[in-house]
Amino acid sequence: MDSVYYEEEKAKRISLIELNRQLKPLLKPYKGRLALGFLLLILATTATITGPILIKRAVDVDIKNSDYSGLMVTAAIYMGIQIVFLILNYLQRINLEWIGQQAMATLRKRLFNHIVHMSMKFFNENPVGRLLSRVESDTESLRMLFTNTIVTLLGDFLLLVGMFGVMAYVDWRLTLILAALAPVILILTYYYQKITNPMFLRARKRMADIAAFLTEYIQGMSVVQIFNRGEQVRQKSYEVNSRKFKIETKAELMVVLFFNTVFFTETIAICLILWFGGKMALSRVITVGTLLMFIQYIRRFFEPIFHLSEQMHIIQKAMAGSSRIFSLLAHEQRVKDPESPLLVKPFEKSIVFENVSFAYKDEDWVLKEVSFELPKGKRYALIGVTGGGKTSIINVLLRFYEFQKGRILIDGIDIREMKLTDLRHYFGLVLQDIYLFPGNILDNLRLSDGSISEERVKKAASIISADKFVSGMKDGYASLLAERGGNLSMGERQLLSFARAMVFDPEILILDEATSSIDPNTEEKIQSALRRLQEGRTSLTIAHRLQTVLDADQILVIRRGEIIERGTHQQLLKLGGYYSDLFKLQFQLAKGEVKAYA
Amino acid sequence: MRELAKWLWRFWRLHRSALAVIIIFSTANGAIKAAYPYVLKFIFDGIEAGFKIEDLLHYILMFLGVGISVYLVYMTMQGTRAYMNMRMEFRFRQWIFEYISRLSPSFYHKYTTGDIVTRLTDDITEKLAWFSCSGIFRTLEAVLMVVFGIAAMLTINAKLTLFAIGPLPLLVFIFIKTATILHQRFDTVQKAISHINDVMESCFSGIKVVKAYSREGAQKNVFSDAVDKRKKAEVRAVMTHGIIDSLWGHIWQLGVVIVMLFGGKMVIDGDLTLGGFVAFNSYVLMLIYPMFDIGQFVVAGRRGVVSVNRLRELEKFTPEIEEPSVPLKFESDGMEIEFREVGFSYDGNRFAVKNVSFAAKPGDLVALVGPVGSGKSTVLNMIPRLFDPTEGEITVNGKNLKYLSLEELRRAIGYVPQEPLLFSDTIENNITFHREWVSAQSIKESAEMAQLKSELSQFKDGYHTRVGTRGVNLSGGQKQRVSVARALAGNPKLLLLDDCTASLDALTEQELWRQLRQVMPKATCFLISHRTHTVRNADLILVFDQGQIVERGTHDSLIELNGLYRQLYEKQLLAESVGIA
Repeated sequence: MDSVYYEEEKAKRISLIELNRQLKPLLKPYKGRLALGFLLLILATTATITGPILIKRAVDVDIKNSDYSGLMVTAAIYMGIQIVFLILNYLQRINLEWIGQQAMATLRKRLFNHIVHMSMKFFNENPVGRLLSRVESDTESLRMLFTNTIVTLLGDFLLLVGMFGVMAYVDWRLTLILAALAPVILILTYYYQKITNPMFLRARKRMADIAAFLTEYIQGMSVVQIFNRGEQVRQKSYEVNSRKFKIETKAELMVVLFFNTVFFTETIAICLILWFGGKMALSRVITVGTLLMFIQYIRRFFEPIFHLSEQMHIIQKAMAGSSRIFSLLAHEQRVKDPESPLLVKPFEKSIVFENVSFAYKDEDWVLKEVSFELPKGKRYALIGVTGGGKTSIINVLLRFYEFQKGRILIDGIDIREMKLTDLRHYFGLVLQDIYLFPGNILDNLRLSDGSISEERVKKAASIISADKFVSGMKDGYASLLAERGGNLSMGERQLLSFARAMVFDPEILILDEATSSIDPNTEEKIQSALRRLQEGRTSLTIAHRLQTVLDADQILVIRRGEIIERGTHQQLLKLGGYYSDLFKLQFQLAKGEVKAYA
Repeated sequence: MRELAKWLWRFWRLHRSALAVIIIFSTANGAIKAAYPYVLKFIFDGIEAGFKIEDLLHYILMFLGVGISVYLVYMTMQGTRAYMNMRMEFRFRQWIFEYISRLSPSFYHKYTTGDIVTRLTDDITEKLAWFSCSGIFRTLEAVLMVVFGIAAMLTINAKLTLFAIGPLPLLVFIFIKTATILHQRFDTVQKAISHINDVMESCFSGIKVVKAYSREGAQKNVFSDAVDKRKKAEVRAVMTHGIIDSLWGHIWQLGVVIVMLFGGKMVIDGDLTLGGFVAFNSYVLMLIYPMFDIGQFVVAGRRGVVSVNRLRELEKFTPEIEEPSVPLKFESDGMEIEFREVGFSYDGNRFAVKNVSFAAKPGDLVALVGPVGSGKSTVLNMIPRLFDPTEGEITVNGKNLKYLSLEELRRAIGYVPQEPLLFSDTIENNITFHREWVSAQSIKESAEMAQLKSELSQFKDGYHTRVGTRGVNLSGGQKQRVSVARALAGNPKLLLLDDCTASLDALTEQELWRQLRQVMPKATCFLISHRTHTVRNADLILVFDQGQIVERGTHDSLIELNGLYRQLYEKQLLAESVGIA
């Protein structure tokens, strides 16, 4: 949560002009509706303005002439106009909301579509939380700007213009007096903004500090308690808490001062009108009704000022949000399809890595001239230290990242000459975590591909021995998965990820084995499921199970980005190197010859 | 609601004078504001009757006087309310945090950090704070306004008053009823938004799978559907909300029309002066806005109750560990720890550990090994009394842990958790960790032992480098070293290390141990680790499985035993050599 606040601090400033430029194309399709909205707004404003005019009439004409039926007519007209206004206002509001929601839906889809095609590097650099915030909260503040702020300010502006117009028409002298007060209000508002805006910004920062403090200390409470620092931490919390209290109280008191002063200005305006207008009414220069009308207008006069101050906050948030949104949309970071992709055929011969070198950053090579050939139908295992390069091989093979030197060929075709979808179609990826999506098990297994039938899914699942436990669940394949599949055991999740690969029936299997240990029972189930999954398929496995390594047709031993040894288990033993040392050890241990280990 | 009031009173009573100011000034405000239309009545009657200019001036000054009074009174009251809002927020948060800081791990297991933080921030700031003061006292202000207003209106013309206020109770009723509908509508919107977030979160987290199976298109469709659903829900919500809003915004016009018609007739008939008509016109306006506040109170009150309940839920937990009333001190330099048939269970049914018995002398290194979830951390955490055993007893130098001075006990302990758990502060302060007795010398020495010195030379601010939020991000290994330094800085007699050297490379770890044994020969060390060479050197190895000690002894004796330990050890050795571990 605090990251959102911190980003507010760092947000680049976007100017109103720039914001306008970005919003225009978004709103263009709704020109008609916008025009309608504007018309409705004008009509609604007109209705608002007529109120005091009708009261003036009631006082000056109907009551004065003791004309009760005339009064009833005036009242009826008044009521009628108010009802019309109600309807107009309602329609205007719905219309605007529709436009706003539609525009935001389009923008959100655009953002999502843009993000989903970005490269893995982008996803590594941008935490999911930040992306969610862009697509959800930032667009939301933009929408509020549109549906709340713009219409409020526009409506207020029209109202002020209308009221002034009517007042000037009725009596220009009194209008002049009111106009003289306007600059006072404006100056007050300007200084109010200037003083309180930074205060509120600081208050928001202090709030972020509180959230950060609480998160850290609640997470680390065991440390605090074991070191018996509870008292000190409580004292610290008092300080952090106080800081927000102090600055925000100051800001809020400023708000109270400002608004009350504006109210008081209203009182002064009324007094002035009563004095000058009163004198004129006494000398029958103006009617009593006129005086009443002016006083009623004054009351409506000051509302826009309050609205403006309220809206400032929304405007700021929207500007910050949209600056982030539009810079994200302008950001390009994806692995591209070649301009004229080559056609691909079913996998026939082999995958070849030819002197492939790769670095995530600059010249920090994680793969150094890696070369090997994986023939069709064979099972290869990758083994090595963490960070040695195993995952990187997978990353470049599937073109999640672009390698810098060398070539990777599938049946002699450079993978960079294929369409990404065609390339990835060869493979079935099984990662350590299953990565579930909202929906039921069926949809998760076929990844929402409607063209894959339910029978096919079930068949695949039964081959993997996942069918039994899924069918045993209350809703079977239609069971909704709890967040991230929390209601499934580790073993069940593994089986599901195998089942998913089985469903897609890939020609080449890429497996990243789990490192965490499971109980021997589940381990047995997974081993046999694996065997069935790998039958008749080509596979490349990042091995963490000894069995995998023993069964492999070839083992590639990777260390610091280089393949230092390769061969079958037997061959590597004979080689007498790094790998064989290890297994000699095991052999001797098994035989009961215990040695001291260096 | 009563529960809510009782809870709030706990905090309100600390600010009785502020509350008194609010109540008194609210009353004054109501009375004074009700005078406004009265003065208008005099002025308009006077103008109709054609009074003298001096009289006009007189009444206008009266009006101005009322205005000034209102300005001062209202500002004072509103300012006090604003102050109280903030103060209440401060107090709620402070109270709850201090309360939970004394709770045991059982509490922290039940609630995620995010959840607790939300309750301490969102629930308090957004929902409770405003309501606890402004929410309630604005309603009081509103009620007083209505009372004084109606009283004033009655003195002018009772009959018209009845007509004018007729619709008011109806308004409040309608407001409360429609609020429930609104709540439901918004629920559907909330759900639609949650769904969108779910789709995004799972797609972006599992983007590798999405790309590997080329399912970007499918994800886009799912997202598009979710967005459209939400759009529809929002528009529908506004359609309902809009009716209620519009009604609310204009229901006061009904009052104006009533006054126009009935009041106007009365003026025509001579039962009411023109001034009276003008006054009623003002009163109608004055009465409508308080109606909003009263209605709001009910709605906001409901939300407030929800939030208070979320906070009270936390208070259901009670602190389990306390300083004993007559704390004993432990005498010698070293600490001998003994576990006698110790067991622990969270809920009384499943036990985390059972029948744990062992003894460790000062200077001993005891290693706890075993598979994940076998109870090692539980045993370790009972030593500093993070929680107490439910069976058996733990003694230090022969005295039961529960009767020792908690302060002294924890002062003698150095603890290194599995996750480094550092705080946003300088490295120096992280090592000191609020302990005044840690000298600068201790800091330097412990940092050296923890192999931190070479790392520190990389940072230009050295020990004063700030880490965490608004600071630098240390690597996993660096964080571990600071965590170790923190434990060592207090000159502990008892060292507890929970599987904490995972991020340190073997060489560094060896060096660390060498120095440790040299500098602290009398310290009793408990270590949870998988690292083969570390565990090998322990004076006593306790092998845990499913909460019980299944094997114990030195490394050599356990290897000979050819049991679980040997299995685990060999597997680990293999894994370490191949680089899998």
